[in-house]
Amino acid sequence: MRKSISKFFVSALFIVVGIFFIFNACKKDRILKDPIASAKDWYLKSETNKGTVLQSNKGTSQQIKQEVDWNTARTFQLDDGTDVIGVSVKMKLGKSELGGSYMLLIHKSKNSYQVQVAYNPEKGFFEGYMSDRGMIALYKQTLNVNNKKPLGGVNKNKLMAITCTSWYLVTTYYDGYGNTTGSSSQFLYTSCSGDLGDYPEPDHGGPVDCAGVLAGGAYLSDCGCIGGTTGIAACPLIIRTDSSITNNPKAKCALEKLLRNNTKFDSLINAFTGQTYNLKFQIKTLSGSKRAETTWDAYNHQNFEINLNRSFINSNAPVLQVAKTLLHEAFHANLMQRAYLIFGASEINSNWIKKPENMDLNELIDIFESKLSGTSIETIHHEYMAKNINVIAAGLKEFAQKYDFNYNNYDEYDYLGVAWEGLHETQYFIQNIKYNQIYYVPQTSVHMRADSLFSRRNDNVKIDSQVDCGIH
Amino acid sequence: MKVSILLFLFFSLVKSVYGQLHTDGSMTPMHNFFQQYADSTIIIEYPTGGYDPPKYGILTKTDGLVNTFYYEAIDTTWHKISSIKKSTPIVLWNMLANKKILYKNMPADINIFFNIVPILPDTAKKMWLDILKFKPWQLLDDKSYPKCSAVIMDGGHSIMHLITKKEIKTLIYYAPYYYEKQCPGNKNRQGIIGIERLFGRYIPLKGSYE
Repeated sequence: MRKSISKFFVSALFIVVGIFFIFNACKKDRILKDPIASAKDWYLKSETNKGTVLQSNKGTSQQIKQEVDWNTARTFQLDDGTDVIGVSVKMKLGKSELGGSYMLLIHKSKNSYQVQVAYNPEKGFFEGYMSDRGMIALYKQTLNVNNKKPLGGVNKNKLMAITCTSWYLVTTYYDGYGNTTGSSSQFLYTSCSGDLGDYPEPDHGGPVDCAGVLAGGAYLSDCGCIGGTTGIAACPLIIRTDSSITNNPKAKCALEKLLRNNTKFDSLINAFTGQTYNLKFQIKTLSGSKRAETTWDAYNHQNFEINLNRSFINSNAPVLQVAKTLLHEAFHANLMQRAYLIFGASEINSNWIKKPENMDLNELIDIFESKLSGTSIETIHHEYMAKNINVIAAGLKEFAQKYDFNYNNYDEYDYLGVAWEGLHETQYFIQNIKYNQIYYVPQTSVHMRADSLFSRRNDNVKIDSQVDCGIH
Repeated sequence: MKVSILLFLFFSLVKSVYGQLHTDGSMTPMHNFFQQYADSTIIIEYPTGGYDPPKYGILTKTDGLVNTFYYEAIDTTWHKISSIKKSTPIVLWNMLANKKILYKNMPADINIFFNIVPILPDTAKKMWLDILKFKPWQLLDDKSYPKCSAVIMDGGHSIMHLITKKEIKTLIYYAPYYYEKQCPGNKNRQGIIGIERLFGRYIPLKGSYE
């Protein structure tokens, strides 16, 4: 009897524990089912991939294959509380890829999902960071475009003699049982025969790309037709020198001598090589007494500008000081470009707490990690530049060696004096350099605190420097 | 022995002067002077971004009278010292140069670098009234509102000191011109931009990079 009771208890215990595990396993499943995973499940079952076509207002259509990069998926919330998932997608036409950028915007409606396709003619547009506000605006804009561009619309602004065709990405959605749940239409572009620079009019079965290949995937960019069969993956390094520079003898002289022949400047600028980034040098009227600034275009993540202050260039500042300023700003541009390349066009302060994959930036990351909160990007850059002051000093020395008549008058403190200008208020300088006593007059005991010495040497060089530009 | 004493005295001087070197937005004897002797004063500080000390435009009002001043530490005689370098004993020249360069780096005060801006009393009053339209005493600075996500390096700071008998309030803005373009509509940035423009119009500083 006692044995049976024990058996009963053991069995009951197993059953209870079993139920507990099953219950918790199910519960865990429910908890782990995040919105992205749910949307992905629905997408993979819904056969949406098979329902996308490139369709013209004349009735031609081509099957499109969507390649969704789920690693890019993110969620955001609309003002009414609806959760939306945004995920980058490539649109494959045959073996090639449609130009522009695409993003699926998926949200749950009742028991099913609805999808909008966001489109931007710029390649890689959705790869950068977008704030939640930006995503909401994109969603609304996409909804608006999808609703307002009826299939069959013809561009009336074109001349009557030109035949134009409007192209749409039309997607039909299915549930897990193959039933149609809806469709969306995204206007892409209008192609016109004889319209210079536009896609030629397709005969049958879809558009011909800018390389003349049917469904080739090449697209027009700032540097012409690239991608597809052209063999050009991205625009080459684009450094633009504005006419404000070329029309100014001093700025032109300094920049040309750096661009052609300065290893340090080249190494800073070369961060742009092979990337689709644009760097523009120009002279602008800037506020205050600053010499120059470096900006990154918030609306076009690929564009950087180095602006020299007009009053600085037009002052008696010597060419060597202009060269130093360009080295300093190029350093900023280099750091900005590399940081954005790695982390995306995010609000960099918050992203920089993540570990980088680029080992070249390890030293920079050390600084980030030690000064996380409340540190501006400018400060982070300046600290890194201070730690690597020799890049600027060596660039200046090379410049002076090649072009300055008074090169023989300078010693290392002169270059450091000029290089530290603008970086002498960094924590690195204050903690490691500022209070050092430097014996700076050979064969004497005359010494001076580093900050005083560099300040004075900077003044000396400004007076002494005579660079061979035909101007001094 | 004498040389040692002289060197000691010299480095003591260096230390004492550099011990109180200016950092952007900090108080100087000039600020304290206006707090002590004027009712209300607005000082716009222009950091140079280089070794040179900041410049200041000053607008002050007491008993219905408005005055304008500026402080700009430019030592125009430095070139002359530099020009005798090769014809002067090395130690003498270096000591001379070191000592001479110290003075422009001293914190702003009522000294040789301080001067009046010669504008008519009515013009000064108009400037004061125009600036009050921006409600300077009600403005907030960058630490009081969210950052704009656009990026600029070496954008420069706009700094305004508001001085009354009761307090000295300092407002600091980073690249307000750039950020007003990128993230428009911030009344505080618009305020400092408007005030700086009025200072630039009525109290133009020489500006010096050389």
